[in-house]
Amino acid sequence: MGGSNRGLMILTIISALLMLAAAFGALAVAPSAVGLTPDETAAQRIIYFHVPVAWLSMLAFGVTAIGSVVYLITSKRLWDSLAVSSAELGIVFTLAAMASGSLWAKPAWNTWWTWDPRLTTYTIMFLLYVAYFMLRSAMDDPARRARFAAVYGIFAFLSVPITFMSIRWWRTIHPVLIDPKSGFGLSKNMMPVFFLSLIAFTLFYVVLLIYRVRLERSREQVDALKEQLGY
Amino acid sequence: MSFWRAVTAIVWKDIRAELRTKDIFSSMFVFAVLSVLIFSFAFELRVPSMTMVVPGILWVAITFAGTLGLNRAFVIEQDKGSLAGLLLAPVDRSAIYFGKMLGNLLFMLIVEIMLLPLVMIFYNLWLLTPANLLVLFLGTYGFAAVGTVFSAIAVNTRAREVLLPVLLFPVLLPVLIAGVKMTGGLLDGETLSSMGNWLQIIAVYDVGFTIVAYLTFGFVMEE
Amino acid sequence: MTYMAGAYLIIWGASFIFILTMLRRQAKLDAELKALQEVAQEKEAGR
Repeated sequence: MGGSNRGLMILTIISALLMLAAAFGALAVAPSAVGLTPDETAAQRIIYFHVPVAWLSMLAFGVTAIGSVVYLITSKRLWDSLAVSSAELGIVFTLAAMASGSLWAKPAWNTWWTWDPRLTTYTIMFLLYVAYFMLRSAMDDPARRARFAAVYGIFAFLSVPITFMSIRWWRTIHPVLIDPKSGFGLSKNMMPVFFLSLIAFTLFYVVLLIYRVRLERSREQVDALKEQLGY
Repeated sequence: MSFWRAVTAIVWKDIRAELRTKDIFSSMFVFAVLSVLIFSFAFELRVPSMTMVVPGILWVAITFAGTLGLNRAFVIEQDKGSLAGLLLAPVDRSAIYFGKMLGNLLFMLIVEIMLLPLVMIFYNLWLLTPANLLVLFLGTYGFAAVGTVFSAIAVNTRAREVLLPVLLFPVLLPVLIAGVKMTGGLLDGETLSSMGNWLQIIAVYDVGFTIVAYLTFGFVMEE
Repeated sequence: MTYMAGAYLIIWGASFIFILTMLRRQAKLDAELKALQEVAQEKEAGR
């Protein structure tokens, strides 16, 4: 146990350093975007955090789906702990992505929100995982809860691409006033900082996930002991 | 017992039980009609032409009534303890799924067939074309396929039936969107072939989630 | 400028809050675990 603790410590420190480096890079090192107002230029730097966080939230839900499938196959609770931990991180990252996205959208397109297909699907994805947690909190028996949540998790994850497709086709008939792709382009000079940020956040996610899974396992141990002792 | 014999037996059981009391069925139908009425009043004063919102109203009414039907189907099973009996029988779990799902589908389709004439009368539209009926069938199938699994899940939680809409509606969105799009398109005079991409989406949804349901329903039924 | 500061604050703030709550929960659980394990040991010893 000591060895893995050391490893986790090292990983945590590396992660913290990378995050600081990424922040520094995003604020000081990355070149400014050209052809934009001062407000927009500053806001453009949000990309270095906003995009990685958004991608990671989707990765997190993918991990939840995988954990769900493996749990159903193996019945090993570790996979359920992985699924719920990743889902929780996914929700936190989703909220951070939506908040930072709004704060980027306002100076860039003069609106806090737009109902384009990506954002709409993203919101629905958020609702799916809120429902996932509502389901979990409505069940007391751990084994059943894990099983039901796993089944729902699989359905939820698989529905996202289909929902995205249907919303995209739905929207092509009604033209979107604002095209999110413009003003988003990253020049070659910005790529290094972007990738640094992406790697930093990915490691950040992994570290948080490990801690969170540990927390979940501790809680299971506590519950098991409580039951054993008759509380 | 062979698979399809079991499925048919389960469907018949539900039909016979329903014929006796007609509980679920009547509440589904009344709720559907009320939904249509309420939405009509809600939109009447602000919408230039009611024909524009009829597809939406229709599908929302189906969604709400369908949720009601799904809920009550499983709640009654649980309350009467007949679910335990089903599980003890030497039947493949997926047969229970298909039996329940087909039963739900059948009830929903019957409610829809009865609802359509009323909508046609209220809005002076002709909705009984084969294309329209096909669209309704495909959408309702998707609803039943996913809804059956989720209602089995919801019924076993502390929140019981209240959880079903929370679980179901986000996952059901593609069906709703495709259904409204196609019904609207058909009302506007388009042909089914011009809306091929929507048919594709709903086909993928129906087939895909039936497979997922087939694979996972057993896990929901375990004690 | 304010928007960017706001966005960064939110992301970092959310991360900090999340980490802090996790650390608090972990500490609480560890304490509970230790207490329960002591009780279990006493039960074993008392047998």
